[in-house]
Amino acid sequence: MHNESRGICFNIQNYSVHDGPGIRTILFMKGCPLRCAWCSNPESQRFEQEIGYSADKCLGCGRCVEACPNKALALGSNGLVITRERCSIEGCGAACSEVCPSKAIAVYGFSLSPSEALDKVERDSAFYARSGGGMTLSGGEPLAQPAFLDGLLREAEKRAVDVAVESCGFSSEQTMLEMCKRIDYLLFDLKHPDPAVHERVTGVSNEPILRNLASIRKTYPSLPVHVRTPVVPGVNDTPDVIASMARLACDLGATQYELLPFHRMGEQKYRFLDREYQFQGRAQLTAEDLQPLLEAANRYFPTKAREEEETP
Amino acid sequence: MYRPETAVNSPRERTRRIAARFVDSQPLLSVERARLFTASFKTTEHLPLVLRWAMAVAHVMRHIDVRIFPDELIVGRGGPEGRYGILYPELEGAYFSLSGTLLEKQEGMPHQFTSDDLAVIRDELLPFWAGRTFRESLAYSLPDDLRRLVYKDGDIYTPSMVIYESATVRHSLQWVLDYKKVIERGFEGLHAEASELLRTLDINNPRHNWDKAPFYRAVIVICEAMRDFALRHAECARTMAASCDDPHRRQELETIADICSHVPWKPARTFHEALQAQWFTQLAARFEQMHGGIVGNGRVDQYLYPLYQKDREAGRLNEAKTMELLDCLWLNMAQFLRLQPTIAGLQIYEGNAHWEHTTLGGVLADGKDAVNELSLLVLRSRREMPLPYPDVCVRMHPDLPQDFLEEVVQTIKSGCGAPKFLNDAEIIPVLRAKGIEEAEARDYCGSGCSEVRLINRDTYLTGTTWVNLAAVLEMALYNGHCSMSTDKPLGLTTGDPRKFTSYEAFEEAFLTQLRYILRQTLKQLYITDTLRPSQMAAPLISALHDLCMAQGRDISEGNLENSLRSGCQVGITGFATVVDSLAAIRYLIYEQGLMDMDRLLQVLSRNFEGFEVERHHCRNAPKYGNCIAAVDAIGRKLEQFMVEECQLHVGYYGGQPQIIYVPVTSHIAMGRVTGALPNGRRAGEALSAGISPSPGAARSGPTAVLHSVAETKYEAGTARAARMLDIPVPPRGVDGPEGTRNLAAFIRVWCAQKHWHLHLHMEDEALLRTASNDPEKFRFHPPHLPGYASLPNDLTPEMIRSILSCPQNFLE
Repeated sequence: MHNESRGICFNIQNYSVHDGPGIRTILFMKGCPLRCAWCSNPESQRFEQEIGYSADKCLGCGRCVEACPNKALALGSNGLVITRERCSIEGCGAACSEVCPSKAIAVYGFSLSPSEALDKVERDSAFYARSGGGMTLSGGEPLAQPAFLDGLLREAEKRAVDVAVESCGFSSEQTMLEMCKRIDYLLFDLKHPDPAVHERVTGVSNEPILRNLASIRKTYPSLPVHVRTPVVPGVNDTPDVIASMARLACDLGATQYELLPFHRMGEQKYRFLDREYQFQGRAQLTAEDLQPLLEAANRYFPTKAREEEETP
Repeated sequence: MYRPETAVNSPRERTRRIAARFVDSQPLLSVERARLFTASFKTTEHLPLVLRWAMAVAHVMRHIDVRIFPDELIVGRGGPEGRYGILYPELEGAYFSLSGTLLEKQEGMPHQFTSDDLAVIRDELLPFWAGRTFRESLAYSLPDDLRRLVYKDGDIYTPSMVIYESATVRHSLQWVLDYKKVIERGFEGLHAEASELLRTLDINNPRHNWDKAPFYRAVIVICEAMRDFALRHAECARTMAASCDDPHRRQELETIADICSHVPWKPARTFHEALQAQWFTQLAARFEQMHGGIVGNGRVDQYLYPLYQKDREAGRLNEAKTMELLDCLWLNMAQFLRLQPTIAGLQIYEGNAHWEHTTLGGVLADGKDAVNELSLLVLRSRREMPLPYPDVCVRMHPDLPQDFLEEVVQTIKSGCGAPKFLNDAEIIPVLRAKGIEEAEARDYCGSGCSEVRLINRDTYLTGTTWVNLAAVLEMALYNGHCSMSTDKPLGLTTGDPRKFTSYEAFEEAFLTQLRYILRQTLKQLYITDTLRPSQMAAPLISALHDLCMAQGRDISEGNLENSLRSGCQVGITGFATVVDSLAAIRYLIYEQGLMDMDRLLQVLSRNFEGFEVERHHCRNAPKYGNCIAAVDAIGRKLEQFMVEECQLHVGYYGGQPQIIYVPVTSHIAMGRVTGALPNGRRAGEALSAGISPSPGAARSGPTAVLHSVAETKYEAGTARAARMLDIPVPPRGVDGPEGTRNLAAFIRVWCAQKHWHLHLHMEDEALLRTASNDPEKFRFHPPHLPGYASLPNDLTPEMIRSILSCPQNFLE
């Protein structure tokens, strides 16, 4: 019997259609070595369970305050005040969230085993079979939970579920190559071509990331590698930067290159977590903003540019 | 994207011109058919009903105003210029004898009468029909306990919305005519057949004796009337052509004249003639009766195909002309509205709901795929139509070609609201289980909203009776009472639920109430069935029906030999609302102990006012549509209970009653009379529709909805039929060609899971705006974005505003 290491995830999302081919179920794994300021899933970053609080939904009933054994909660004039240092979900089983009638308090993070995960994923296998889809492991960073990841990949193989992985590329080369051996599709993020800038905006250098990408291509030449760049205003939204990343992707043998325009959908989640959002009020990218960047990317990936909708 | 109805866009100029002339017109409820029908009916009281009906319809067709309007290529209408409806006094005409009902503009009514119309109603219709209408006839036939369930406070024109009978707001359940017969044989052929059958009646042949003479005479009358109606149009076209200055239009009018002097009497020779014959036939069917959801178009891509192909091969027809002719046919349909004169009818057809069900695809008699070139053109014409006409449905089967399916998905993605799907993989086996031969079962067509018909085998026509399942739940909660009715209890005495010590005890009380209400419903339908043969006749429908012609009997007699043994239709409304409420009761009271029954009843009786915490508990209890086994099992048990209950009964015509989930708009009307419920729904709000999850309750994506709905089906049951399923497609969920393929795959899984019906609607910008204003009723699905995890916490109002401020980032 192989290793049944449990892992921590924060979401399972059915009918996902933008993260790998076909209809997919995304397993969002919790915990990431990077700290990208624009991250739209801030609840994915820490490896521990944490609570999110939505003041808009709070009824102010105070049941959570009473339920908390750690005295981490208090009712203030603008809703709940959470003393996060005192909050320990492992100890109390998230009693606050349990008693919350309006679900204003949510727990981010739940533990599960690879076979439990695949039981949930496999429910939609009829959809994968007809659309060429499957499971996408996302995060967080899947490579940051190597034992759980390994269990997931083996379980998926056993049940013949196609696997795509969405990765920031930051891990040891061995872990990366071990994973790529068992997957069908890789979504790989490139955020900035310059190591120093990369380190400033994500907290880590891009050197191991680029090394990993080169090594994947060399070891698994037939694995589809779909490189994506989140286009972030003030970070990498110039044609030059985009062009140099597209060239990098091209040189490293990416099969597809895609730009993901910055959006503020994650903004509210920072508030739920009592964290500061650095892109507060920043305008989202318009089609006009994006146009020169798309052109820059198209120089290297002319046919892989965003597919146009067929006209009726 | 949202398109207001008045924006008349079409690639075809003629279509734009015709549509622009009527889209904004105030619908008129025409009394012409009523006046002429009545004038004839008054003089024929000595004759058998079927003959009287034929003569009355013939009188309408010989005297109703015949006009041809500019640009029309398919001619004939049943009322004045613009949008019109037809008044059928024999159904509910006595309503106008009540004071206040004849006001020129009545509160809440979508139409108006002119002063001339009012005079006709007062002086010609009422004196004859008061005391003779079907509605009165039924009301006086119902026993007292049933009357109390059907009518509010004894007023037969105000439905209680606990049990809602629709048999008297329309003549027939829904129907599709055998247009193929008209196209191939013409009414001349039917006339000859009826004449021969009449001639060979034999007093020594019990199967073919003189009791059938009135029917065959009626068929002859109808066939001749069809001929004369068309000839009147031919004459009109010829006269107009003679004085027409525009040579192009003169040519068109001359063509119309030629066509109308030929069809529908003779077999159609061209595609254009086939369309004209089709329209004359269904127009006459509208003179004859009001069909539930409007008479259907049947399998247009099958019966129109031979002449289409012949014309294309002969070079007489090109694609552009085909599209223009199809548009002209749809535009005629779009000008007819199913106007209802009473609140009883209005409530079930709110917003002039219409289903001129147009079936495409499916399989041929040998089981092979039936899609052809014409299927594609009809689909395209629907996509390009500036109005939501016609109601197009694709018969899905495992071998439906991928390119056609992708075209269908493209049409859905265009936001035009069509087509919908019926599933061969489910429907054909259900028909087979009812004793139909394989080849015949394969030829079913869609009819009404999501029902099906075998047009030469089906004969059941009594309108559905809808059961307000939520009202039944209230009876269990309030020991027989419904919260909004202060009267004596409507249900049984099943005990004070505060004294129940288990969920099972509550469930038992609910099922006891449900059995009682189902039996009352079946009783009402049985009584209605007994009345129809003496109240209704349909000589035109019958002339086009193999069994009626062979047996010399009108379809309204119901129990024809060799007919499909399907009995009455029991429409269940509020399925998900009740499943969610039962799940909430079990979860909140008996599993989690979050409140007791006393508290729940207190909260419901106050409509949650001042009980915000409890309401959230109710709303956040597990819901159907999320693939939660324990909840889906409640639904499954409920469905099985109702189907098995129906299987214990046989209707008046010998068929088995059927459970259907086709709400039309009953879920809105029934919601209005239903108090607050344990699923968190407030008093007066709509109930859930069809077999779909409650509004806003499905939060685990569309695949989970399919799994849950499949889970609730009682596969082994025979007393079941249509299950209407509506699934919203999240914004950005079907982007690009890959999104098209994914949605096509989704539909293929729906087919493989053997669902009955599917309507996919795009969550477009207009819908999202509505959702942001009323987040409880319309769940705002977070847009699908790469790598983005939507959260258990909903989007905040601020986030929704932010998305809507820049919708192009999130919407197609």
